[in-house]
Amino acid sequence: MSRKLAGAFRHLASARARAALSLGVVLAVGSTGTFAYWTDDVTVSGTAFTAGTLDLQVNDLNTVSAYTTLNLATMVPGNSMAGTLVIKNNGNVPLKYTGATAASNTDGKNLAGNLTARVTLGSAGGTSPAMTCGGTLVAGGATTTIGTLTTPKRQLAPNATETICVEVTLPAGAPSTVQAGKTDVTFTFTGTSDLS
Amino acid sequence: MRTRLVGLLVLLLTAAALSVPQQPSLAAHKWQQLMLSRNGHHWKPDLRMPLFKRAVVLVPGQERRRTFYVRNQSESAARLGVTVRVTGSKGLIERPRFWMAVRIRHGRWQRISHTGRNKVAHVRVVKGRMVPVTVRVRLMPRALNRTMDDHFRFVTRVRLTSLKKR
Repeated sequence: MSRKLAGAFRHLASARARAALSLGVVLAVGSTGTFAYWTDDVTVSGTAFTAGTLDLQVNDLNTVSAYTTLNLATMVPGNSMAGTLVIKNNGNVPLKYTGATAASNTDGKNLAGNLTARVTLGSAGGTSPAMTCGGTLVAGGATTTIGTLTTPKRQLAPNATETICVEVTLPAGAPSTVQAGKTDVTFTFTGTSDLS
Repeated sequence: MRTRLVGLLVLLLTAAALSVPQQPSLAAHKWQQLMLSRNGHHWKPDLRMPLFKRAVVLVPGQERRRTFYVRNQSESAARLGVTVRVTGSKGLIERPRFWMAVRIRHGRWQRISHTGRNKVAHVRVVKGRMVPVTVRVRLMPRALNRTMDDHFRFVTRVRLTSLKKR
């Protein structure tokens, strides 16, 4: 076997073999230059696509866990409390938000069913226990109970804020069965990118 | 025996040389036969401005679409290749509720579904023919919050290749 290999290398070293190999190289170079395709390229720059950020905040927070402005421990018929909340679009796309309330009735006295609520675009005035909301009425009224309050969709531009005022009243005609009653009210604000 | 061996070597070398991918010759670099247009009427060697505005912010339910036109102004038919290169995505391009696609002429939409090079089409274009290329991006209405604040960049590359070897 090794004798055969040695013979092959001897043949490669010969002048004829070298000439033939050179011919191969010439053919290779020639073919590369001869059979090229012409091309033309253009790059079209696109852009940066970004999925927007939607972030609704209330009083600069995502969860407000200690909002005690509306608290009143000794409420009697005819009393009302009012407090403001700052709604902010902290994202980079326009949004629409709605607000809704839910109220507990753990003691079964149905205080929540007798508290009326209204929301305005404005500020709170007066002193406890006779506070009221000024400005334009957005939702609620004299017969809307605190547990069923919803605000219509309101649009906010990126970084824009809006101050709303929530007024809660125990009407003068409230039944005596709500005495010593207690309710915890939760406000939920929901933002959406759907502007329809 | 020796003659056969030499012949075989020559044959092998020639075959190897022919099998090497053929690169365009130096003269081909000046072959500018591809013209582009935004409206199909005014033609330039490139679009100059980005296809879309610099930064597009999408929210669920939104769609953006742009069309540009490519023309083969060479003396013969040529092959048009379109590729899209996506960079900088943190995963938006792969999300099922994000959809980006490119269409050549009125063919089917070719989805761009991953970062890197996406080959879109390879079509034959006759001499003088204008071909519309449309890029469409859509964030589905039910896209979840995890699609928020993600982004990517892309460039579209069009290449015209002559069908005749020079």
